[in-house]
Amino acid sequence: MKPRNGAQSDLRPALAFLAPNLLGFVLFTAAPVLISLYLCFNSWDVLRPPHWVGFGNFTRLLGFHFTPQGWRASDPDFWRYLWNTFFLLLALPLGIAGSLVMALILNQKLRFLNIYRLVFFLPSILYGVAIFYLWKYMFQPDYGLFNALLGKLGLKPLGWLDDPHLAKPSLILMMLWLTAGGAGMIVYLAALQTVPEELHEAARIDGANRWQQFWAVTWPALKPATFFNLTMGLIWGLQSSFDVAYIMTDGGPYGSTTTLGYYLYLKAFRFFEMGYASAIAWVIFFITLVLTLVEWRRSGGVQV
Amino acid sequence: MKMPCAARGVCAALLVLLLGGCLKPPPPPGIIPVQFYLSSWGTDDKVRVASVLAEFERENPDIKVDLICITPTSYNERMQTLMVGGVVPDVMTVDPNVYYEWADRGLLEDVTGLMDGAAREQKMHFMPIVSDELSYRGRYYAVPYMMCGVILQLNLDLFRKGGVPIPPAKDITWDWIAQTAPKLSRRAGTKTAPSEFFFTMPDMTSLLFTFGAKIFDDPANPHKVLVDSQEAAAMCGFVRGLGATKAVISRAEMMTTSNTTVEQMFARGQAPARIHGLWDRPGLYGIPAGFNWDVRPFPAGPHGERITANGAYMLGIPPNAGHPEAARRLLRFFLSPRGINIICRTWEYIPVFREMLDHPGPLPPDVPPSWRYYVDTMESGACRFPVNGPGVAQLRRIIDSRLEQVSAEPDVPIPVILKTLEDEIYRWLDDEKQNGFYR
Repeated sequence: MKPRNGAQSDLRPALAFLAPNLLGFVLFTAAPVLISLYLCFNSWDVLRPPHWVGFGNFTRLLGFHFTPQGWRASDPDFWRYLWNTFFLLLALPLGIAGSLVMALILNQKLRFLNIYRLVFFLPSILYGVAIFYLWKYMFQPDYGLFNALLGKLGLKPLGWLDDPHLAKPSLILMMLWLTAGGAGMIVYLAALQTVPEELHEAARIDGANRWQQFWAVTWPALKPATFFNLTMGLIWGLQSSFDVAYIMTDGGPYGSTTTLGYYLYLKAFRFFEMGYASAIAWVIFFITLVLTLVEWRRSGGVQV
Repeated sequence: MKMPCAARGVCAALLVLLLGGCLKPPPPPGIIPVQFYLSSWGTDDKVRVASVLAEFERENPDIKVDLICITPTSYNERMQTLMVGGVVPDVMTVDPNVYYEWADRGLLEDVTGLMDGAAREQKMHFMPIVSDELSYRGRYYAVPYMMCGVILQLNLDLFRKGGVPIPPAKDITWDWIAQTAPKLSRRAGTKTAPSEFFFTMPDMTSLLFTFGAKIFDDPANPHKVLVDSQEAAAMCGFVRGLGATKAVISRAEMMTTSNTTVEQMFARGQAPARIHGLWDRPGLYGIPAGFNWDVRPFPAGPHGERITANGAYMLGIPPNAGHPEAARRLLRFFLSPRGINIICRTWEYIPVFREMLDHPGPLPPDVPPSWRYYVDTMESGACRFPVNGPGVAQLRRIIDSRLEQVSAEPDVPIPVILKTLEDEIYRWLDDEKQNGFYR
C-alpha cells in the first residue's frame, strides 16, 4: 500500500506542474486541430454559422471537371501553389548539403573554432522578419546589394524577386543562407563527434583516401542525422514559408511565390473562407504525413 | 505541505487586486459609454479622430466615447473575430473591401434613414461616389467619413531639371505619361535624367476602367465577365510598352520597391511623381515646407476617362450595439457641417455633400486651386469598386495579380493573359455564388 500512496501523493503535484502545459496544448493545439477537422467539411465565412458541405471543399480543392477544352482542375491555383511549395523545397537538399559541409569544416581542429561556429550559427538565431526585410532590400533591383555587385562585375541587373522566373530561386538562395549554418549543422556536428576514430583509422590502414573514408565511414554514420534533418526540413518546408511570402513578396509576382501555407492564410484571413482553408490545412497535413512515411520507409525506420 | 491561512489570504487579496486592475471602472452615472473601434495605426489618424470626438463630446456631454485602435492590416479579421466572439462595438470603421459582405451578412445596421435625414436637414446632395458606390441594393449600411480621389503629385524641380514642361490638367493623359516618364528616368536609359524612375503604376482595375474596359455586365449583380475585350487588350498593350521602358515601377516590382519607398523618394526629391490619394499632406511623409510641387488629375485614358480606385472609409453600427442611439448621434455628428468641417480641415478630405464644395463653410481657408482636381475626380463618379457587392478584396487581388504578368512576362501573349483572367474571375464568381452571393 505504501508505494501506491506514494504514487498517489506524487500524482497531484505532477498534474499541477503539467496542467499549464497540458491546458495550453488542449486549448491552443488539440482543440484548433479538432475544430479545423470539423470545419473542413463545412462552409464558414465567420459571419454566419458553419453549414455542412461534406466533401465539397475537398472536391473543389482537388477535383477536376470536364470542359470543352478538356479536363480542368476545379482550383488550378492549388496545383500551382503546390508546385511552388515543392519547388521551394529544393532549398532542403541544398540546405542539408550546406549544413554537412559546414559541419565537416567545423569538425576540424582549427584555430578560433568557437568563433566560426558562432558566426555560422548566427543566421538561424537572427531568423525572422528583420532578416527577410534585409534580404528584400538586398534583392531590390535599383539599389539592392546583389545588383550593385553584378554592376561591379559588368553584368546586367536582375529582377530577383520581381521576375516570376527568378523569384523562387532567389528565395531558395536566401533559405540556403538561413538554413545551412543552422540547427542542421549542429545536428551534423554532434553526429560527427560520435563517429569512432578507430573506423577511420582502419579505413586508412586499408588504403582508403579521404573521399573514400567519407563515403564508407562518415556518411553511413550520419544516416540518422540526415534522416532527422530531412524529415524536419520536409515538415518545415511544407507547412511554413508563410512568413517569407507574406513579408517579401506577398506571394507574387502573380502567385509565383505563393505557397500552400500562404494560400491557406489568404483563404482564411483575407477572404474568410475558413472551411476551405481548413481543407487546405488537412491536405498539407496528409502530404506531409505521406512524404514523411515514405522517407521513414526508405531509410528503413532508422533510429534517430 | 499546507499553506498557512494568512498566506492564503494574501494570495487571494493579490488575485482580487490583479483581476480588479484588469476591469474597467464603470462610467459615471448618467454618462453613456460608446465603444468606437477604429482602423488605425494609432498615430496621426487617431489624433484626428480624437479631435472630432472631443468636439462631439463637448456638444453631447452625456456621451463618453472610448476609442480603440486596431491596426489596419489585420482590422477586418480581428473585427469579425471579435464580433463572432460576442464583443460588439457601438461604432466601427468599415473598410470598403468588406463593406458589402458585412452589409449582406447583417453585421451593419441599415443607416439609410440617418443618411437621408442628414441630406434633408442640410438641403444638400451626396457626392456621386456616395450614392453610386456606397449604397448596397439601394440602402446605406455605413456613413462615409473619409473620402478622397486619387491624383498625380509632381515634383516641379525635377521636371524643370529634366527639361519637361507640365501641360495643363486636361492634357494629362496616359500617352503623356508614356512620352514623359522615360525622359525623367535613368532606368529608362536617359543618363542625364534627374531621377531613377518616374513613379509606381496604380492598381490595374483603375487602368482597366480608364481605358474603357468593363469587368462585368452588371457590377451590382454580375453574371457575365467582359474583361477579355479590345479595351482591356489596349490597356495591357500600353502597360507592357510602358513597362518595357523601365521608366516606371510595374505592379510586379511593387513588393521590392514598395509604395512607401516611392513616397519617401518623392518626399526627398528623388522621384518626380507619385499617384496619391490625399489632396495636400506635405507633413505626413516628411516633405519639407519649401518643397516645390503641384498636383494634376489622374491621367486620362484614350477616351478621356479618369477612373480611380474607390477611396472611401466608412463608419457603421452593428445591429446589436449596446448603445445604438448614442452611436447614431455620433454618426449624425460626422455628417453634420461641424463634423465635416473638422474632417476637411484636419484630414484634408473631400466633404460628402456636393454643395459644400462651393460653400466656404466646412473647407479650410487655404485650399489650393489644385484641390479641384480631387473634387472633379470624385464628382464625376470616377472612384469605382471592381464590383458593387461582396468579394471586392479577392477580386482586386485576382485582377492585380494576373495583370502583373503583362509587364513581368512580355513573351506571354496578351489574349492568353486576358483569357486566363476571365477564367479566374468566372471561378471567383462561382465561388461567391457558392458562398450565397450573386444568385
